[in-house]
Formats: sequence, C-alpha cells, structure tokens
Amino acid sequence: MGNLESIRYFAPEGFLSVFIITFLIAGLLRRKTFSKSSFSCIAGTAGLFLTLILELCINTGYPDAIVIFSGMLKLDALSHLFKILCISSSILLFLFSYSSRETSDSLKEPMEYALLILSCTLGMMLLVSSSNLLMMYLSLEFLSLTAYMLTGFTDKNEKASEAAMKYLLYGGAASGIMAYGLSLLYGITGSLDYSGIHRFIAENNSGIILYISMIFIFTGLGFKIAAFPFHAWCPDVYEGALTPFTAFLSVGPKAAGFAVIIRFFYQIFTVRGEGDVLTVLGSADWPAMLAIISALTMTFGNLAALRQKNIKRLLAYSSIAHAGYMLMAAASLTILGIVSVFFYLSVYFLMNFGAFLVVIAVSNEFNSDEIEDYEGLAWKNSKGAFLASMFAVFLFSLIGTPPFAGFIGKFYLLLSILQPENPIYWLAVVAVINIIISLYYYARILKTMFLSRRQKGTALSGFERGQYLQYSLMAGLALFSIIFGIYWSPLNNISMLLENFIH
Amino acid sequence: MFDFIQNHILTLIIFIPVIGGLIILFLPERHNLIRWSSLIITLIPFTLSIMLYAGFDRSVSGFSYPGGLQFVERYSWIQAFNIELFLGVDGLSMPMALLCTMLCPLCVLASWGIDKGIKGYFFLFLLLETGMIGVFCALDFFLFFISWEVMLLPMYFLIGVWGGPDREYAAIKFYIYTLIGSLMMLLVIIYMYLSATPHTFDMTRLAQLGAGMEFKTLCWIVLFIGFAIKVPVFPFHTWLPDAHVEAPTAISVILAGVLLKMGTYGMLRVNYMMFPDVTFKMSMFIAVLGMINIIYGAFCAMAQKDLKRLVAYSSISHMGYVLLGMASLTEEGLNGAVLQMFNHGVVAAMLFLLVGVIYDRAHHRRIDGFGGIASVAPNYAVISFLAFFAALGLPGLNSFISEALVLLGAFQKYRIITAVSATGVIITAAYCLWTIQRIFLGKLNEKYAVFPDINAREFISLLPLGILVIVLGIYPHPILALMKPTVRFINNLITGSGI
Repeated sequence: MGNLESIRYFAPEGFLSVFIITFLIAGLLRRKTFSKSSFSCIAGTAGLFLTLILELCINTGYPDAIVIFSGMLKLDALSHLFKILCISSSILLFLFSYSSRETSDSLKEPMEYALLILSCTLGMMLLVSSSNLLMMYLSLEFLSLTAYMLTGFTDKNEKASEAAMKYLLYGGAASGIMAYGLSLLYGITGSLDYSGIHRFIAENNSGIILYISMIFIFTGLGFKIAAFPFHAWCPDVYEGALTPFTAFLSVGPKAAGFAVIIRFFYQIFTVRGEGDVLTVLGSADWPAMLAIISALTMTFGNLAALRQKNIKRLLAYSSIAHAGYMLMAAASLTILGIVSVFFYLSVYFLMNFGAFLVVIAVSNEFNSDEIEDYEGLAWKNSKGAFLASMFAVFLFSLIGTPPFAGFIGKFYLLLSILQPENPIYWLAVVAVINIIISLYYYARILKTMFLSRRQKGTALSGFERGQYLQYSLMAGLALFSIIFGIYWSPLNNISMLLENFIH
Repeated sequence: MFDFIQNHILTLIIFIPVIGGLIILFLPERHNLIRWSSLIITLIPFTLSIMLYAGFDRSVSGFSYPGGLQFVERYSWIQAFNIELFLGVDGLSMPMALLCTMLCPLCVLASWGIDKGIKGYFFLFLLLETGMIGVFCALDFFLFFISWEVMLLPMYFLIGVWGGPDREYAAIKFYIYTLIGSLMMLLVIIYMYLSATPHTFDMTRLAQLGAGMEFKTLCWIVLFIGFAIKVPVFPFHTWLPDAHVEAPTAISVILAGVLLKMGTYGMLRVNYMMFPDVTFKMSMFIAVLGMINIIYGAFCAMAQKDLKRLVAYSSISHMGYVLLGMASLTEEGLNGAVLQMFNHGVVAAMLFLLVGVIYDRAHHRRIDGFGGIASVAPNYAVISFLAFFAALGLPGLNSFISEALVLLGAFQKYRIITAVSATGVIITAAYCLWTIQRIFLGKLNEKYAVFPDINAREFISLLPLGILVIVLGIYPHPILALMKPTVRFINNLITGSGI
C-alpha cells in the first residue's frame, strides 16, 4: 500500500506523534504547569487513552493483514493485540508514577519524563508492527534509547545512573551485534522485507550462514526480553530505576520484544502446512535454539532469584524466569504457542504490575526495598493486611497456583509445548522443575509477611486519602488475576485472534 | 426449593463453604460471631450430604454417565478446552464426601480457641473444605486438578501462620512436596487430554482411552507418585510428621482425616479406574509398598516421644492397610481398603482432637511428661482409651473390621507379604498400649494434680466420632453397603483386564 493511503491506517501512531510534539511545545511554553508531576502524568495518560481508543477502533483488517508504507509496517492480529498491551502498560506506568511518592518527590522534570514515556510507547507500537528489518531495527533502537534515559531519570540515587550506564553499554553492544546479523541476513537474501526474505529462503538453500545471522539477531531480541545469556543488565537496571518504571520495563518492552520474536521467526522462517501443522523453513533449526535458550533462561532466573535480599532484584530475576517460560511456548512451533505467549503476557501483565505496585506502596512507607523490611507486614494494621493479601494474590499467581490466572497461563504454556505435532517433553519437565524452584523464593516473601511473628519496629500508617487510586488499582489487578483464573474464556477468545496470524 | 436443592446438591455442597467464607471476610471482627457463623456454614454441607446419603442408590455401579454415577451435574465451563463443571458421586466418593463434610464442623469446634487473625483462619478453612469436597466429587480431570491444587494455598497458611514453633519449615515442606506431586500429575493430565480425540477432560471418557502399554505404564507411574506423596507412601512420607505436628489441631484432623485419603482415592479413581490393565501388573508393587508403610510406620510411631508425632506415624502405618487392601485385587480386600479409609478418617481425627485437648491444658506433648492422668480426668481418659483401642484394631471397634477385611483379602494373593504385614497389628497394639500406660496410668505426675477434665465443647466434637467408632465396629453395613457395588465394579474391571 502506498504512503498516502497508508496514513489512515496509521492513525494511532500518527495521533501519538502529533500528541508528543504538541506536548513538547506546550510544555516549553507553559513550563510551570507542566512542572507539576501530577499534571504531566494526567496529560500523558489522557493522550495514551485516546491512542488506545483509536487503536481499538481502527480497522486491523483481521483476519487479513494490511501492509502499509510499502511493506514497512504490517497491521494484523499480532500487532493489534500487542499494541493494546503496550499502550496499557504505559498507561499503568503513568498511573503508578502519579500515585508513587518516590516519583513525585524525585522528579525534577516531569514534563520530560512524560515525554519520554510517550516516545517509548510510540517505539513499542512501531516495533510490534514492523515487518522490515530496517524498520524493526530503528524502532527497537528508538525504544531502547528512551528506556536508557528513563532508567537514569532520577538524581536521587547513584544506582540509577550506574544502571542507566550499564543498560546503555549492554544495549549498545547487543544492538551492534544485531545490526551485524541483520546485514548478514540482508546479504544472504538481498531483501529487507520479511516477505521478501521468506520467499528467498523458500526457494534457495542458504546453509550455515543463516544460522549465524539468526543467532546474532537473537542477541538483540534476547537482550530486549532479558533472556539468558543477555540478561546481565536486568537486575541492576530493575534495582536502580524508579520502581514504576521497573514495573513497566518488566512488562511493556518485554511484550514488544516477544512480538518481534514471534513475527521474525514465525513470519519469515515458518510455513503453515496441511492441518495447521507448522514447519521450519530454511536450514536453521530455530525452535531448538529457542528451546535451549528458554531452558537456560528459566533455570538461571530461578536459581539466581533464590538468594536475593532486595525485592526489586528478586522480581527482576523472576521476570527473567518468566521470559524463559514464555520463550518455551515461542519455541513450540505451534499456533497454540503463539496464542499462549500472548495469553501468558496478558496474565503476566496483571500479576507483575500488581506485585510491583505493592512494592511501590511498601517502599513509600519504609523507604526500603529489602525483603526483611516486609517482616510481619500482614499483622501490623489493616493496611498492612491489605497490602500483604494483595501481594499474596500476585505471588501465588506468579507461582502458578489455582485459582489464580498465573496457573492458567502456565497451563497454556505446557499445553502448547506438549502439542502432538511437535512435543518437546524435556522442556516441559525442565519447566515443571523450575516452577517448583520458583515456589521457594516466592514463598519466602510470603513467609516474611505472614508467617513470622516478629515485627520490625517500623510502624505503618493507615489508609491515606490521597492513595485511593493506588489501592483501587491494586484491587483491580488482583480481582482480574482471580477472575481470569476461574473463567478465562474472554481472554482466550481474544488470544485466539492470533490463530490466523500465519497464512 | 426442595427440587432445586435436589438437582444441584453437589454444587451446593461444594460451593457453600467458599461463599460462606467470603461472607465471613466481610463480617464485623467479633470473634463469637465469626465462630458461630463458620459452624453454621459447615453444618449446611453436612446436612446436605446426609440427604445425599439418604438418596444414594446402593444398587448401581459403573464409571459412566448415564450409568453408575449419581447426582450428576454437568455444566460447560470453558468451551475452548471442553472443560466442564462435571460432578457426580459413586460408591467410592460417597463415603469420602460424607467423612469430609462430617469432620469440618467438628474442626470448627476444635478451632474455637483461635483468636489471631480469626477471619483469615476461617476463610481459609472454608476454602479448604471446598477444595476437598471438590476433589471427591469432580469427574472432570481439570476440575479435579484445580480442586486438588486449591487446597495448597489455605493449607500453607493454616500450617504456617497458626501452627506450632517449627511451622515455617513444615508449611514450606508440605507445599513443595505436594506441588511436586501435582505438577507431575498436571503433565500427565495434559498428555491424556491431548491424546484423546476429540480432546476432553471428561474422566469417564478418558477411562476408555486406547493407548500403547508403554505410554500407559509411564502415565500410571507418574500419577501413582503424585498420589503417593499425598498418602504418603514410604519414601515420600517425610513431610507428614512435620506438617501434622506443627499444624493446629483442627488442621491436623483435616490432614489425617481427609487429605491422606485423597491420595488413595486418587489412586482408585485414576490409576485403578482409568488404567486397570497397568494396575493389574503393578499390584504386587503396591502390596510391597503397603507392607513397608505398615511396618515402618508402626516402628517409627513406637519410637516417638511426642504424642502428636506418634499419632502422625500411626497414620502412615494405617494408610499401609489401605494400600495392601487395594493391592489384593479381591473384593474383600478392596472393600476393606475403602472402609479403612473411612475408619481411619474417624479414628485419626479422634486421636488428633484428643492430642489437642491435652496440649491445650499442659502446653506440651511429651509422652513421658504425663502419668496417671486417668485419675484426674476420667472422662478424657475413657474417650482416649476408646480412640487408642480403635487404633490398635480391637474387635468390636471399627478399625478391626476394615483391617481384618484387608488382611483376609490380601492373604489370598500374597501370603508372605500379608503375614509380615499382620505383625504390624502387634506393633501397633504395643505402642498404643504403651502410650496409654505412660500417659493415663501409673503414678500421678504431681504437676498435673489439677488437670481440668474435658469440657462440653471438646466433648461434643468427640462424641459423634466416638459413636461412629462403636457403631461401625458392630454394624459396618451403613458404609459397606454404599461402596460394595462400586468396589465390585472396580475389581471386575481390573481382574477382567488382566486376563
């Protein structure tokens, strides 16, 4: 589709771009109004809400895909669903920042903060729909650059600057390697367009070099989702960054990363055959590669989480482990696998944001993220009991215990990996062992909050009027974690839109 | 109204506790109010299960619908995966459901002394009840698994928050052990679901699953281990003493009275009914495990210094009889096994309640720390004698009948194993009598010269169990008649498949 025709399909992104520019100009003209963090957050939320509404209304062309801007972007069920997920996580980031005392105290330039979040969202939206190597690389870099800046966006602690620097260095190296991989792929196939590459690989035998380029490209993608061995930035960045941003980082960009992985591998290197059986196209056995990385990622994440004392670091390692679980479904080479990744991400969205919101609430009280400060939280007063019970819901969901949504997510993942057309039994067993390991460190937090009768001296204030947004967000996320654990048909029907993603 | 109850009786029994639990969360924080409402909430399913008992047709058998299953309710739940809310009872689950709903009000009575976080306690307890009854009534494998897993969360907190000094360790150990078992089960359930065409979780349909013998054997072993952890069968038993000892009294009662039976129930329902041909080959293996449980548990019990730990190990020993009876593949043996599940539920519940009574007064449970209690607390002593005699299998009390049936059935097939197992009866008698002697008889320990006798609340919680112990010892027909046709069906299924 030509450029002019494409614009109307580009409405959400277009609106967001215009909104960002307007926001910037208005912010410069009215510095005083925008320097109140509440104003900037609310304005940003409003902009994202409108973008979300546009995205929901726009014709995605489902079940047929629409290719716009001469093949740069592709609108289909995958881009639609993941865009919604990414925009929602940015909205939650704004709401979290608004209700967190940590951000309202330490933000000197809320306007710039909001601006960066908006740009980050734009980056994710472009990333999940890009179907051209160049477009994919550029939007990935766009997303990464804003994320580096947001990581260091506080002068409150030195850890943030250190984290931002580490993130930048790792990220730079990863994207450099990825660019090399992309150039190799371009060199082999002579095309930047996904469908062009697909066609070339279907017709020609490309040998080992394809495998090498794929590994290089996965370095960049694996970095985005914090897969082992590209995870090293993750704990430091999660610990150093502002907690609302950490929460966002563990969901939004990760979802975008998974969307790219799915699009890259399933659109270029997969053929849909008779009876919906998928087969690998080309000489590179990428499902095996993903399966091995998945096993390593979840095992490493869980083992490293066992000994963490800081809650943010613990959740960082746990998010590495969850990326491993999701990669498992991505490696399954089944249609249900794609569906499962999205299903799990939506569930993970609920439980991980919820868990981080509790961390925000608690660290606003105690000014600390150490697990030992959670001691006896449940028994301090009614607010402590509320926070601890909410945390318990999210943690049980993360473990994967019925009746919480996390269990259903894991059920999907295991179901997809055991599909009869391409079962990977060993990976299912590894996943099960990992779930058992993960129980131990999640239960340690539960133990600290509920089981221990010693109480740390710090007193806890009661419910505060100004914090009702926080409490209701928390309760809402918990409620959905339970509802989708008992009746998840609505979420299933949405995820099933991805069924026809590969033609 | 009455018709509505009749038609939805199982749904009501399962979901009334959890709905009641949610209501309790929103009641004002007045202790007596919460206690009494929990009692009333647990009495409703009990009343309903008596209706169930009265309306149960004792002549039909079979594992199909329409067919042997009764009070069947079937609603679609998640259409995409063919998951249903499929409930029903047969002669196997009926006694278990009855036992479970009967014990729960008694446990509420035994929890009267809880005052820390009382709302949370009773909410979790009622959630636990829903899970337990759900396991016994579920005929959809997914629902079965969900019910099975839903118990983990309340159990973790009930042991961990309201338990004894070492509760943190006991709670996490229980959780990890059970999770290992259930996740193994989950893999098999998913595998079975995917092998069935069309995909289904319906247990009655999965029972007709045709598959290769190797595949079936693998499934059988994995499922068996999953259930064996719950029973617990010998090498997987180490969570049990810790969990039982650290849990508060009422939860020990639930653990011993209901949760352990879930393991053997699962074996009978899944391993026996769904893989009869594999079971036929494996029966010897189960018999050996049963023998080890009986002897090992009894010797361990004898060595204990802590009264509650002694009762916990005696449970391991008594569950061995269930395994042995199951392995016999004779009608007597299987009847004995299922009856033993019920009887042990009653006796173990009684023993744990009695331990709770003595602990509330003395604040310790060292068997050597007492002496001559019978002279200061005669009523308590009489009930304890009854419970211990029932545990050692005195003729005229309920356990005698089930153990005799088990040994009778097993002897027809495994002479040596049964002969060795029968020595367990002697060891059991030894430790039971020795315990009675050390606690109740002999010289009065001066420290307990003033030892309040059992009070009315405790007496009421023990009375129904005591009556059952005596009545079922003389006339076991009310329970045996329930299970007989189903047991015959299982037995024919297995012996028929072996030929």
